[in-house]
Amino acid sequence: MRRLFTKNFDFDPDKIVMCSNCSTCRWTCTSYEEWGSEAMFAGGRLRMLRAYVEKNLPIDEHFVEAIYSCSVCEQCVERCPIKVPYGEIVEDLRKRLVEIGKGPYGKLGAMGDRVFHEHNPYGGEAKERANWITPDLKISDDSNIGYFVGCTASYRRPEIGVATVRMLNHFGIEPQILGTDEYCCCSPLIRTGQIVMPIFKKQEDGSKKKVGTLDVKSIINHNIEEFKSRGVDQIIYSCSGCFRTTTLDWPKFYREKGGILPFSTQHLSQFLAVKLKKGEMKWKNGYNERVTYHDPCHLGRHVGVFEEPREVIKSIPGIDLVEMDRNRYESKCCGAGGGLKGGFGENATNIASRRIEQALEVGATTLISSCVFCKLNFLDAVKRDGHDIKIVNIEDLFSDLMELG
Amino acid sequence: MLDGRMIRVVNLRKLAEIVGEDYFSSEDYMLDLYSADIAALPEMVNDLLRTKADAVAQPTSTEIVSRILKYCMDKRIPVIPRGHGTSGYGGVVPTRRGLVLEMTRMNEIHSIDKGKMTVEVGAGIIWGHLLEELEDEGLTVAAYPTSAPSSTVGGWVAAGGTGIGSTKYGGIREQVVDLEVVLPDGTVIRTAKDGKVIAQFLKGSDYVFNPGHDLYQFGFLEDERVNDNVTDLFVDSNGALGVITKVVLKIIPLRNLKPLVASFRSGQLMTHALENIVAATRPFFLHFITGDFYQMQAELGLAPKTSGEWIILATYEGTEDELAGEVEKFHHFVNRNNGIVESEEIAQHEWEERFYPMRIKRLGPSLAPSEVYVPLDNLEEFLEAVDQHFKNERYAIEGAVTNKGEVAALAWFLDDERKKISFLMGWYRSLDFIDIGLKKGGRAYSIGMWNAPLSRSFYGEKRLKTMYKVKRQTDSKNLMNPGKVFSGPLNLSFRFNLLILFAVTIAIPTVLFLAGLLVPEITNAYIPWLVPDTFSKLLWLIGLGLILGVVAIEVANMIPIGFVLTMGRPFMRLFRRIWRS
Ligand SMILES: Cc1cc2nc3c(=O)[nH]c(=O)nc-3n(C[C@H](O)[C@H](O)[C@H](O)COP(=O)(O)OP(=O)(O)OC[C@H]3O[C@@H](n4cnc5c(N)ncnc54)[C@H](O)[C@@H]3O)c2cc1C
Ligand code: SF4
Ligand code: SF4
Repeated sequence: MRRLFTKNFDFDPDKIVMCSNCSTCRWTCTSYEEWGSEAMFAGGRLRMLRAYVEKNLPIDEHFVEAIYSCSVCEQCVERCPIKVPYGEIVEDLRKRLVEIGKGPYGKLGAMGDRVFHEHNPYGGEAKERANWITPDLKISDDSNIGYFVGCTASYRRPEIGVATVRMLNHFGIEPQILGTDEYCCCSPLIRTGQIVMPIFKKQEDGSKKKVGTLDVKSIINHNIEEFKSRGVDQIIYSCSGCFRTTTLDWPKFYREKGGILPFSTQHLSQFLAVKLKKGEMKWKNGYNERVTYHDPCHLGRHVGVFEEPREVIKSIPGIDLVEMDRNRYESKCCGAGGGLKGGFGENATNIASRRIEQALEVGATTLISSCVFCKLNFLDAVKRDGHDIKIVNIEDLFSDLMELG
Repeated sequence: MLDGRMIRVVNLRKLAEIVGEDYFSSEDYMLDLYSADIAALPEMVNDLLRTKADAVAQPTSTEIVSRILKYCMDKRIPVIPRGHGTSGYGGVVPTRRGLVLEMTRMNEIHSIDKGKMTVEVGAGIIWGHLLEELEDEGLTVAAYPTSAPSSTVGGWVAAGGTGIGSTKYGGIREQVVDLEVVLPDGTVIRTAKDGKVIAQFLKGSDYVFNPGHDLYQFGFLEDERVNDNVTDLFVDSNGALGVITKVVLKIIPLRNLKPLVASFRSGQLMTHALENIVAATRPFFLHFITGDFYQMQAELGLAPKTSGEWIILATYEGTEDELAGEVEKFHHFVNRNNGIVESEEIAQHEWEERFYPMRIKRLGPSLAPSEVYVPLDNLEEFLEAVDQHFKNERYAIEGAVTNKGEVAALAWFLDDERKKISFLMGWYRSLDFIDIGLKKGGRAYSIGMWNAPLSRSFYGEKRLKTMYKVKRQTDSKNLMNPGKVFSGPLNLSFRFNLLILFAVTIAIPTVLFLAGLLVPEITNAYIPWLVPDTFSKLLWLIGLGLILGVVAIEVANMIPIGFVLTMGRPFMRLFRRIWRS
C-alpha cells in the first residue's frame, strides 16, 4: 500500500485501521479516568496517531505527551471487541518516537541513561546492587533455582528481596542470585520505547558528546547468559514487572540471537501456590483482617496469573479475602506502569489513590499486591492522601506470618 | 465565506474562563478528535467539508452550560453538544465550526427514587456506569443501547433509538420521564413541567421565509398547542433544540434474565419463528443474525457451534414462574419452524456478546454500517430485496425487534477505508439500504446530519413543525447544532472553496481564449467583447471570473447535503461497480 507518511515517521497504518472508534475501551481506561480527554484512551490515541500520520503533522509535545500518558495496563485490549493489539502498537510507537529523537517523554530518558551506566533505572551505583543482602540469607552458587531480584527491590525496597530469599530458604531452597552481575530486566525501557538509544554526556562547555548506545537486547542477553552459565533452569520473581518482561519480552530479544530461553520463569505467588497444593506449606500465624487482592497488570492481564495469589492468601488462617468490584481480567491499574510513574508522578499517585478507595469501599483494612512497583505506588498514595489501609505484598505477609523477619 | 474560525481569540479566552481552563481546549490536535463521530468518513468527504471545531469545552454544571450558550448566541458561535461520539449519523459533526460541548463531566447520579422508580442522572454519565450503580441497589434501567460500555445517557436520549430491553419496554423515548434542558438562549427548563416556556414559542403564525442558511428549512403557518410536558419534543432531537443536562429515567427491579438461542437453516424459517415468538411471548430482547453474519463470525473463529446459521437470541426477564412459561413457548415455536434450541452455554455466550456486534470488523478492516426500522411483517421481503440489491458486496445483517413490531435492521458492509476512492463510492450502500427499508414500509433509524432529508417522515409532519417553530424562536441564527434534524447546506472546506474559485477564475478566460483560437467565426459573431485578445481584456475577464468564482462558492455552499447525496448516489453506485470489477 502506498504510504503517505513523513519520512521520519513511517508507522504501519494496517495496525491502526483496525480500531473502529467505538470507545468501548474508554470507560475503564486508566488514563482516561485521570485526564478525561479524547486524546487519553486507546481509541483516541489511535485516532490521533492516524491524524498525525495521514496528515503529515509534525510530531509535537502534545502528541508525545498523549502517547506516554498511558500505563500500558491493557484494560483496553481486554475490553476491545476487535482485539486491536493496542499494547504492542503503543510500545512500537514509543520506540519509533525514541528513534526519531522525539521520545521518550519528559525525564523518562534519564532511566535509559542510568541503565546504560549503572544497570538500573534508579541511578544507584552498580557495585551496590547486592547491598540489600543481609547476613542471615542463604544464597548458593550452584542451585538450579535462581531469584531475579530486580532494581526496585535492590535499590528502593530491600525488604522485598530479603523476604523473598527468606521465604525460599524456608522451603530449603538456597537460590542463586546474580548480585552485581544482575542488570535491569529492561521493563521500564521496553515500556517507554528506549530499546536502542544514543547516550550522551554533557561536556563542560555545555555541548553533548555521545558516549555510547543503550541497547536493550545486549542487556537482556547479558542476564540470560549469566543465568545460563550458572546452570539456573528455573527463576523465581518477586516483581511482576520483571516476571512479565522475562516471560514475554526476553524471548523476543533472545530469539533474535537464535535461542529460546534456557530457563523457566515463576512468580513467587505461583511458587507458593504449588507448595500449598503439595501440602508443603503450613502457616505459623494467622491474619485476622479483611483483605483484598490487587491484580498487578503485569502479572494478571499480561501473563494470566490470577488464581495462585488468591489461593495463597485464602489459605492464611483467619483471613477474610474480599474482591473489589474490578478484579482479575477487569482489575484496575495502580497507575505505576508504562512509565507513568516516572513521567507523570502526581497523576500516577492519583490513580493509585482511586484504586485504594475501591479497596476501602469493600471494607478492606489491608491491600495485598504481588508487585513491587504497585506497592511503591500505593505507598506513595497512602503517604500523600492518608488512606487508612495497610499495603503489603505476598512475600511481606509470608515473612511476617512465618516469623522469618 | 471561505474559511476562518467562528471564534475569535478573545472569545476563546472568555469561554475558557467560563468553563475553567482545565476543561477547555482549542489546540489543534484536540479539535481533530472532537470533530468526528464513530463513522469512518471517506477521507475525501473530510477534505471537502469544513467540519473542524474551533474549541472544546467540558462543562461541569448546568449553570456553566447556560452561561456558555448565552455567550455563544451573543457572539454567534455555533455550539455542538457531544456525548462520546459513538453515534454514526454525523450528529456531532461541527458543520459550521464552533464550540463542541462535551458533556461527559456531568456524570453524577443525582438521585434514585424507589417510590416513583426513577433515577436522575447527569447527561454525560456512561450507561455502563449507571447500570453498575443501579445493580448495586437491585435495580436496572428497562432499556440501554448495546453501546452501553461507551455511550452516554444524554447522547442516546438525543440521538434516539432502541436497544437491549426495547422488545419489551420500548426504546429510549419510552424511558425518559423528564429532562433538564438548556435552551439556546441559556434558559434552563424541566421538560416535564415547563411546557409553557415552549408554548410561547408556538403562538402566532408570523413565519417569514428565512434567507441564507435557513433557505432549505421548512416554513409553517399554523398555531401549535402543547401541554405542560414537552419531554417528547426533546428526545431524539439531536441537540438541535438545546443541551440536555439532566435526564430522569424509568427504572425497574433487577430480575432474573434467561437468554435462549435458537438456530435455523434459512432466513425464511427464522423470520417466521421471530413472528411467532414475538406474538406468543414477551422477550426482553429479541435479536437475530443472518447466515452471512454467522459466516463472518465463523471465519474469525467466533461463531457458536450451532446446527443452523441463522440465529435468534431471545432473552426473557421476570420472575422464575414467568420465565418458565416463556421458555416453554419459545421451545414450541422454534420447533414448529424447524429450528433447534441450542445449549445454555451458547445462549449465555451470545447474551454476553451483545455489546460487541463489531467484532467482524477484523475482516474489513473497515465496516460501513447502515440501519433502518422495518416492520417485522415485511422482514423476509426486506432481507430478500437487500440480498438482490447488494449482490457484489460483502455484508452482514443483524436486527432487534422492538415493542412496536418493528425490526431495527443493522447492516455491516465490509470495506477497506485505505482504498479511498472505492470506499467513498461505497457510501451509496448505506443510503440504498435505508431506501430499501423505507420501500418496505420502514422508517429511518436516527436523523443526525446524514439522515436530515428524512426528518419529515421520521418525526412526522406535526412534530417537525413544532420543532421547527421552537428552533426558529429560540435559535434564529441557527447556532444550536446546525445542520442536524433540519437539513443544512454544505459548508465547504477552505481548500475546496479555493479550488472552486481557482477553477472558475482560470476556467472562464481559458475557455474563451481557446474558443477565440479554435472557433473565431462563432466568438467573433456572437461574443466578440468576451474574447481575451488584448491584455486588458484578459485582466477584465479574470476579474469577471473572480466575481463568478465567489458567486459559485456561495451557491456551492448553499447546496443541501441531502441533495448532494441523492444526486451523487447513482454515480457512486456505478463507479463502485467499475472500480471493483
Ligand atoms: C458498538 C455500538 C453499539 C451501538 N448500539 C446502539 C443501540 O443498541 N441502539 C442505538 O440506538 N444506538 C446504538 N449505537 C449508536 C450510539 O451509541 C447511540 O446513538 C448513543 O447512545 C450515542 O451516545 P453518545 O454519548 O456517543 O452520543 P454522541 O454520539 O456524542 O451524540 C449523539 C447525538 O446526540 C447529541 N447529544 C449528545 N449529548 C447531548 C446532550 N447532552 N444534549 C443534547 N444533545 C446531545 C449530539 O449532538 C448528537 O447529535 C451504537 C454504537 C456503537 C458504536
Ligand atoms: S493501556 Fe491502560 S492506560 Fe493505556 S489506553 Fe489502554 S486502558 Fe488506557
Ligand atoms: S481500541 Fe478497540 S475498544 Fe478501543 S475504540 Fe478502538 S476498537 Fe473500540
